[in-house]
Amino acid sequence: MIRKTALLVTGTVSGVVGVLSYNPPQLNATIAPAIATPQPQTSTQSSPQKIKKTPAQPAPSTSSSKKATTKTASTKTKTQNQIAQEVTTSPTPIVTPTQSAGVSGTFKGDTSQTRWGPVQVEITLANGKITDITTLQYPNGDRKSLYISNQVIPWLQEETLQVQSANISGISGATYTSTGFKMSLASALQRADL
Amino acid sequence: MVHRNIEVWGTIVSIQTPNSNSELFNRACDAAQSYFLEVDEKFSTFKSGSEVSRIRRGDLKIEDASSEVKLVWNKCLDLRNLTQRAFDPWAVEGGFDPSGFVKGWAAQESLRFFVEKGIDQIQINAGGDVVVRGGIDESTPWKIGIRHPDFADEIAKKYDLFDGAIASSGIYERGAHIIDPRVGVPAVGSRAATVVGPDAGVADALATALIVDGRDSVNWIGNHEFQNYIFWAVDKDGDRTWSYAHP
Repeated sequence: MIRKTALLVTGTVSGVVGVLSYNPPQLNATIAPAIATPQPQTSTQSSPQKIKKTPAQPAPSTSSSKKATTKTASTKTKTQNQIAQEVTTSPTPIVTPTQSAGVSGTFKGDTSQTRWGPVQVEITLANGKITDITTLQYPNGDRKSLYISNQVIPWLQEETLQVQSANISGISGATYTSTGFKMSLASALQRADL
Repeated sequence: MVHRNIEVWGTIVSIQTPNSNSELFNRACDAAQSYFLEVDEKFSTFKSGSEVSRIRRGDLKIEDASSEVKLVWNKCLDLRNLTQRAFDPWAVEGGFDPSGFVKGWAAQESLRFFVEKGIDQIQINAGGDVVVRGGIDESTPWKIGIRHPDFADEIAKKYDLFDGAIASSGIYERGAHIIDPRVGVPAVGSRAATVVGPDAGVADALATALIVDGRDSVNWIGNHEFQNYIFWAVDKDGDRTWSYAHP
């Protein structure tokens, strides 16, 4: 099922950032309309930065023509913002009216019984957009203990998350495709009255 | 560059080619659009009459499903096994939901409508799952940026490739939306992940699996079935990233 296609991956940098705009897919029939709609985003960035190139992959000794190789180029690093990181544990909804139409605050969902145990989530909204989901109750998962193969470690390459200025012809990013919000989340959204 | 946007699956499929024969391109896009709509009719979990919805309700057995649904079912089974259930379309509430594979898979399949019309240079971008062929020209690869998890209008990485696929997943869109199939709660392994390789369906599923497993993915990314794929993920906390390519 896996076609062997030659990949050639190289790295270059400079110029304009073009961002594909896309509409959000459906979340589910009941809560989809409640979710704030991300607007198509377009950004241009013109001044090419001075670029320092660093090889991203360790050079394996057994490379073959079908193996992809990669280089990355870094320009500047931004301090990570905290939007997705904020953890809210307030037990009651705190609604802060804002000038825009969106709701802000934190909202607890009902405890939802799953086959793995009870789940309860709390969402944080900023202007009607979900900025955080905290899992308040979490079933004790039967996770396999971590085993790291010694053969894998040498081919792992670590870096710091960066922002790049680059001339691109397309963009890859997550869209909502997986079913996944639990009933607890749906009830939290209803409480937020989005 | 000739361009066409097709709205389907609740997202936009954006197709572009440097080929100047726009009539051929438009005909290929029409065929691709019909195909995408057929895929939606069969696989949408939002259409009660789709085969997948009927399977979810227990109204249709996989043995009686169409060959396409059987094919996707089997590919998902393979990927579930290969990822040690980090990708598991059967663990979703409501039953079998192959959405995490189908978008990339269908984008990959749609390549044939362009190839058969002699369009050898093409980019098909299905809501972030990207299939490219032929480069922009023979010496210029397609340059695909990876959306930064913290800044929607910035890119964090770039892959330049002539032929192949790139799929990304992340919990930056609408919070944590990917469920860890083993425990049934939102996954917390990575906050963003990208997989580059020959097949967009596989890359799509593997990007989801990276979100679920984070660095635990090292348990399965070394599988020889994935030897032509490159993995990149951002840790759930902080700014550390890691990437992996087979030696």
